Amino acid sequence: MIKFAGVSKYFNNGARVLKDISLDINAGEVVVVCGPSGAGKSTLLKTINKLEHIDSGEIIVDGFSLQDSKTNLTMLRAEIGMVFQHFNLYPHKTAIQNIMLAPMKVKKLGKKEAREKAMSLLGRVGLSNKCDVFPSQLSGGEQQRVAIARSLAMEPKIMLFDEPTSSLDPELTSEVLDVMVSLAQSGMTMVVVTHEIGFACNVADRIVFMDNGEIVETGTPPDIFVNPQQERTREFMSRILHIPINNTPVEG
Amino acid sequence: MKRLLRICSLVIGLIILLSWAVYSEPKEDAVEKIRKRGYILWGSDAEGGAPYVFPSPKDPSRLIGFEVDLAEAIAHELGVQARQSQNAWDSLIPSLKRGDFDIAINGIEITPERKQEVLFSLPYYIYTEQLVVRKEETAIRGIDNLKGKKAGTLSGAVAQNILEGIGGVDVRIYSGQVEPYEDLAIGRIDAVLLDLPIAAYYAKPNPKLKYAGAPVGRGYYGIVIKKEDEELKKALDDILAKLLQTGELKRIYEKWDMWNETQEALFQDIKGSETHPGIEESRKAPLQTFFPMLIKGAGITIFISVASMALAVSLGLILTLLRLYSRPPFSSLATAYIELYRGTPLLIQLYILYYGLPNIGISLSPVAAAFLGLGMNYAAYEAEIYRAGIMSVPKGQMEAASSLGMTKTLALRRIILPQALRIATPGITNDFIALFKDSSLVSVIAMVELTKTYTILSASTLRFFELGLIVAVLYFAMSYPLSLLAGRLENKLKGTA
Repeated sequence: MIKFAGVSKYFNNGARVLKDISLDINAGEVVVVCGPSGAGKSTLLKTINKLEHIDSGEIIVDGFSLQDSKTNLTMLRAEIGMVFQHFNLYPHKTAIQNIMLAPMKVKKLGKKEAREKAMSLLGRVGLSNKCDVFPSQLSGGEQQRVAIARSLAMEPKIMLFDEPTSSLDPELTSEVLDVMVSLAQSGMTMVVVTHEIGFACNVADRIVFMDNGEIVETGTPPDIFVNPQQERTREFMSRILHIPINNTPVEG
Repeated sequence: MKRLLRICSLVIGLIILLSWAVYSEPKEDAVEKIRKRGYILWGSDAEGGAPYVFPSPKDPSRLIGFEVDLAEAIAHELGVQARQSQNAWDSLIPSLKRGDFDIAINGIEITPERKQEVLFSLPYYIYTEQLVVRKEETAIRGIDNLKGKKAGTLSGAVAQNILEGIGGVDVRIYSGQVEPYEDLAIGRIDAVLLDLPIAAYYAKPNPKLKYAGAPVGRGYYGIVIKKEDEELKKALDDILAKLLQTGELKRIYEKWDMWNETQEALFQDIKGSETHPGIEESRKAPLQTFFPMLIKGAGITIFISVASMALAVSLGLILTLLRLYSRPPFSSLATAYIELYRGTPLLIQLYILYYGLPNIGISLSPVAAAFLGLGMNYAAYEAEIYRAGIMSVPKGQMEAASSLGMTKTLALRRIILPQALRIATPGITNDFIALFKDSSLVSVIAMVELTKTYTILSASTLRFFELGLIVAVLYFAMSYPLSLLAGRLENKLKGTA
């Protein structure tokens, strides 16, 4: 479904944010990307719908090369949903208008049809009663659920999540994660940048651990969380799980 | 402590200002004062032009003209130097009264209403009004043929009264004496009635123009002196009489090709000077009589402001979009436009539009020039306000829209611009208020809006104070509701954002 082949990207100052990334993600697979901040996780995610350009290598999504100028980018983007850390809802539109806009303007859906679809999606994320509310009047968790519904309205084949819960209070996190879990169970191809270990353990088929612009190792959740092969992975996991690193014995 | 200091300095400043306003010089013989000082300061407007007082074509830093010669002759008789003080013609008398200079010599006609404000010397020149038309004109042979025609003249000049006295003439008021003839030559107006010396200098040599009929009216130029300076008036009268008798005055007029038989009358009726009954009533007329004109001027101000703001907001949006989202030649052209219009004075832009473009064959009506001038100038400012608005929409908004398959154009129209406009609204309303007041600048291109109506009315009635207050109130009454509206808009937008 998604194929990275030797992908590299440089910042203007010459620093390399992505180093020779190669990765295959299959249809229906749920992949969690984790790693320290500045590792290039979000950048990697945004190259999948070309919000970020790459300097070398190739990315193929659903059989279309993003580097091929013949590929219809807007069509392809419509098939890839994306959920952002800061929700990025349109502040001047109500919840339901946020959801209806793209189906009407990009897919040319009729207003009635778009509205029905938006209502059912709002129901799916548990916000039927909030359809005419502006984003500023919604809690963070509610905003993120509207944002997920907005992406789903385009009936995407792939969903990308860029730290969807990291700007939420802990008690609001679970309502968003619930939606994501049910989405994963429905067979959606998902790439998720997150530090939610519980979510990763339950739902992810594969964990990709990144550091310093490169993929350090990939594996099943137990492989990465319990039995990491690489020193850098081990160090990171112990830090986020608050487990002292066993191979640095404390001298008495 | 800092605040205390600031208050103190404010209070001291106010006291100084007040005492300066209240303080009046002790009475002193003006002639003595001038002799002691060593020079006489005479006010005139070099913009008024030839042959009165104007920059020498050979050395523009030097002023020449028959009134320069006259002032020097007078100064010579007084045994002092002559120094010219530049002052707009419209406000020579108020400036003289304020004490900016000792006397004013600048083709100022002796009229009864002016005589109530200031003293006049004996007349030093008898002028007549000459009608000028285009060379091919056949219908207008004198001022009697002017009904229904457009006739230009100077603001506050006696010719204005004559034209208005005919009735049914569309009188166009100018503030300089070059412009009416320019507009006549290119067909914006049908005739110009101005003092003969002006016509002789500006119209006679122009192959496109000709005199129509014999000079009409007769009036006197006199030197203007402050009401309290009786001794100075006496001294000047003596000097003028002496210059007349010695032939010095005639020599000056012959040098400037201004001598004619009419001037012989200076010797005879040297005492008579009130030939223009004119508009004495307006001096004492109740203020209500000016309201219709002022209201009409205010209406034109509103019309011009609203129309040019509409142009500014739409052109500004196009400029911003070009600057931010178009390919290099267009984006840099938009940037150049914005920088150029922001970096040059509006007044110059208006002059180029109205008086400059006819040189290359494009002649705009005053309304079109005012509309384009203000609108195109403010478009540059609106463009920058939009740009700030667009820049302050978070990057994530465009990303979210793109990720949903929206094209850049669609995202701009539906997502970015609606938010940017909300942010820009207070700035735009603020600019509208500013444009509203800047619209007074279009008075330089023969648009008689509120400010021009004021200067015309007050130049002829000398009621600068009362009329000024009324005009200020009118402007305020129009702009304050705008401020209120701006405030309300701002609050409303804060609520939904």
